[in-house]
Amino acid sequence: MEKNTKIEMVLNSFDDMQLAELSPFIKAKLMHRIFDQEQEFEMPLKKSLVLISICAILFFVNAVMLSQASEQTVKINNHAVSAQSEFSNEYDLNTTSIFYYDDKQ
Amino acid sequence: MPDSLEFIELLKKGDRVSFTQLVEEYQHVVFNTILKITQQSHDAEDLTQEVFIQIYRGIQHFRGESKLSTWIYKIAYLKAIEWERKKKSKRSINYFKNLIGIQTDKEDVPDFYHPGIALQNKENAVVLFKALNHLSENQRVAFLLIKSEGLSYQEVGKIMKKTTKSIEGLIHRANENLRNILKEAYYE
Repeated sequence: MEKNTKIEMVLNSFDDMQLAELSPFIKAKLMHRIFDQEQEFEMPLKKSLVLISICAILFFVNAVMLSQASEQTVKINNHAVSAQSEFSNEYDLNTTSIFYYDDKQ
Repeated sequence: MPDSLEFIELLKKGDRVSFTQLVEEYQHVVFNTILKITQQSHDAEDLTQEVFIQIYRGIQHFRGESKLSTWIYKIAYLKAIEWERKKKSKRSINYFKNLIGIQTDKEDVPDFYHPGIALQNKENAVVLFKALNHLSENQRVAFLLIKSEGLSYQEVGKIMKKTTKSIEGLIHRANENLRNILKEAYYE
């Protein structure tokens, strides 16, 4: 056979090529990978989202309680300071101690 | 209906039935495109699965600027090329390992018999697949998509992100180079 004819035959050997079929097993594996693993991926994601939301709520509640507690502390401190100053005004502790006064009597 | 807007919308919504239909429609096309580029059945099967997973996850990004089939071909083409580049870089690493005396597994490239080739063309197709491996990546892919997948120059241009003219050039050079390779290697 002539050289060029042989080359042309090789070059045209893809003519009438049929599709090679993907095995049903591979297709089943593919569908499993897409749908079932997608669900497996989604479930932990949903669980984590719920956990994250709970943590966020707890954090918020904690922050509110802390701020209220610090407000209370400030109020108590202020109250104590004012009570102390009232007391100091009434009895001059440096000069006239009530105890000293009592002793003398 | 795979190219209809409703079908694409259903796919975007993650409709299971539509996606199964899409797989039914394109599984062999994707597998064959990858198989012809990689010339390895087992890897082509794995890559086909990866292509459909990518389609499932990326369908939201499909803007409908090209046909759905072109978009799918593009993903398949890119996956196959990525696989081939990895393989090439592995080969170069092995080559350097051998140079410095580290033993690596020798990789023999076996003859590739495509199961869809007519019996009378089988031997000639093996020769052609071997010759194709000597072409540049672009020439080989363009040749395979046009000659064996029967796509148009325009479609191949969209898949490979090239103009129709440059695809014509690639095919012209691929034919020329293949003739020279076949003359030198097999018939002289």
